[in-house]
Amino acid sequence: MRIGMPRALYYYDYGLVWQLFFEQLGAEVVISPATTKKMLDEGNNVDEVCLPVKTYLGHAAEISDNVDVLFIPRFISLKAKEYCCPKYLGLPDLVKSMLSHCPPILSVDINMRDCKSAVLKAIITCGSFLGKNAFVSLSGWYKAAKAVQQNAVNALSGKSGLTVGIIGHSYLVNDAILGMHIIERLRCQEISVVVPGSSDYIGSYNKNKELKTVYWTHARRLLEGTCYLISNKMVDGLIFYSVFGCGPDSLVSELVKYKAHENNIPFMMLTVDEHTGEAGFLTRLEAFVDMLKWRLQDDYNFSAYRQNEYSH
Amino acid sequence: MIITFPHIGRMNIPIKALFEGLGHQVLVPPPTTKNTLALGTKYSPEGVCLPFKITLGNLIEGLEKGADTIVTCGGKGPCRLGLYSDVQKKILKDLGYKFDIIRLDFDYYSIKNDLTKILPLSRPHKIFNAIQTAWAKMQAIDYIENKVCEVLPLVVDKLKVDFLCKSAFESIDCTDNRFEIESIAKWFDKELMLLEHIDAKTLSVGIIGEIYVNTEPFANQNLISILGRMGVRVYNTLTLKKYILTHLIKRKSAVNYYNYIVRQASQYLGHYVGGHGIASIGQYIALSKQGFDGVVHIYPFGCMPEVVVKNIFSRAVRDYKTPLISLAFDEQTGIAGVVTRLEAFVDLLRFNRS
Repeated sequence: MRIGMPRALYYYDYGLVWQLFFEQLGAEVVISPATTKKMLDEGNNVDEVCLPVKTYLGHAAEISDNVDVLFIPRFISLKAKEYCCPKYLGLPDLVKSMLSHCPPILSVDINMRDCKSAVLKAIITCGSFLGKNAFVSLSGWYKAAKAVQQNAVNALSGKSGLTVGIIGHSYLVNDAILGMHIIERLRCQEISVVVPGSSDYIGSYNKNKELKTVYWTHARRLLEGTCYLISNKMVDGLIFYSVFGCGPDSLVSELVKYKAHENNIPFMMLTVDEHTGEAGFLTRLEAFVDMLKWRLQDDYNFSAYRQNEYSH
Repeated sequence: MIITFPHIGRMNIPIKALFEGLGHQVLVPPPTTKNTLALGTKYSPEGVCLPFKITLGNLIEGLEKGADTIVTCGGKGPCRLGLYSDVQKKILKDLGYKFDIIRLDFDYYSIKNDLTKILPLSRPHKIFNAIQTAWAKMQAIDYIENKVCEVLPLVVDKLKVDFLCKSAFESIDCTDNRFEIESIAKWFDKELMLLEHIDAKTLSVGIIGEIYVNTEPFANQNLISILGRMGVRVYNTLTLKKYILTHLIKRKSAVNYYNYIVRQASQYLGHYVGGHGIASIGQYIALSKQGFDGVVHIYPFGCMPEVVVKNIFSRAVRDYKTPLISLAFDEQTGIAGVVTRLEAFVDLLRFNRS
């Protein structure tokens, strides 16, 4: 049995554990390769959805001929009182409608709002699809989960003393094309980069009241990551990395911006879309890094008559 | 406490009646215009949906006129509505306005904190009267709007219909007597009957989509009026009265109908996606089965549930064959694009009929 998993969206957070789980149960898992321009073009048949979902469709189209079944879980809710983005909720139906040659779809609902053992039920359903009983499925999952380590914060250091936090969804920042290699580019400019991960450690760190109203799990993690980085004074600047058309980000970016401004931390919002021209992206990054370096040299602290600045 | 709130369709009339009935001073923001939209767009985040921008503009205009309390609704669903109040509050405070915000959710915390600020708890009969008056006004307004949708394609003097509507709504706003409100609706009926009608077969078109754009004429470029003038009888599947009956009051017949709609949609969309996404698909199928000539799907640009559903329509349209057009609305107010698309769509429907 060949099970296909597109390398997009939830793959970056949960894909590895599901892959190991299916392999424990004896199935062959086919993961699509890193994003290519061809996949983006293929996924562009969909109107108006955000770019990560288009990428997902492109990946699904890429592997649809090589697999017996496509695994597309329906992530409804990962925590009580929270939801995932609406596009996750409708993902299996979207793929079924938009993919021209759609193989059978194995879909399980993961809805922690309805039931605390939703994940366990999903695991058992997937196991029974492969003909395994509940005990085998659950022990396969346990082994897979143990093998996957998640870090609270991924820190990559650069030479200068400056650190920039990147607040963005994992499926954007880590993608080969959508991520625009932002981490490498910042490190080339000698900046240390910190990317808050998706660990619950961060979630329990901050019980800020104002976060109570944010009901999207992934968006909430971005805010919690921001609060974590700011409270621990880990960053000199913040970049909010988003994509055109992202619904939750359009509002959550404002909340992150206000948080950064309250704490006097330089903030920049970068919005990417299908255009792959890099010049605009690079100039903005360079300008931001230059500004951070000038702050260290008290560049904004000049006399009212500008005498010191212009007298050589 | 001077209360203001954002506009949505004609809701300002029942809401004003409700809060005045509870003993508060109400300041209805000026009617939504291009200026409102410009103000809202200027201070909103760029990628946010249209209702946020228009309602922010309404609130700015309301606060400028002297209001000091904003009453707005919350939400818990996957769509962005629930976060509107938080972000709008931050934007307005940043702009320097001083105000209190009351966010109406239907959960224990909200009821305990927010409703106690607006409800005079010592006079329960006052609350009951206020609710009854507001509900009577809403029913009258809903009746008038439905009547206009039915009758506009058949009436010769369409401007007179607009004039009658305006007078009726103004009269409803000015009275608090429930019998007077009912008699205004009957008067409107009678006046419509007196107008000259033509005898023609009209096309029937259903409107589905997101509730704000369905209900607020400024947001949808007065689409219902445009269609009526093209000789189309419009049926709006999503009005505020229907929404309140189904999801707030939970009247049994409304809830059963909603469940029927969701069952229709289940073959194409397996779960609620927030907003009115699943209802849009279900309504399309229900309207096709009822023999409607066409369906118009309207939503704000970027609306997450509707965008998911828009792409799923292709399968449903292949199966049910009822023509469907999807129109997205944003802060560009050029009406020509909307009119040309609707004209082409109506021509297609006429061709199909013949």
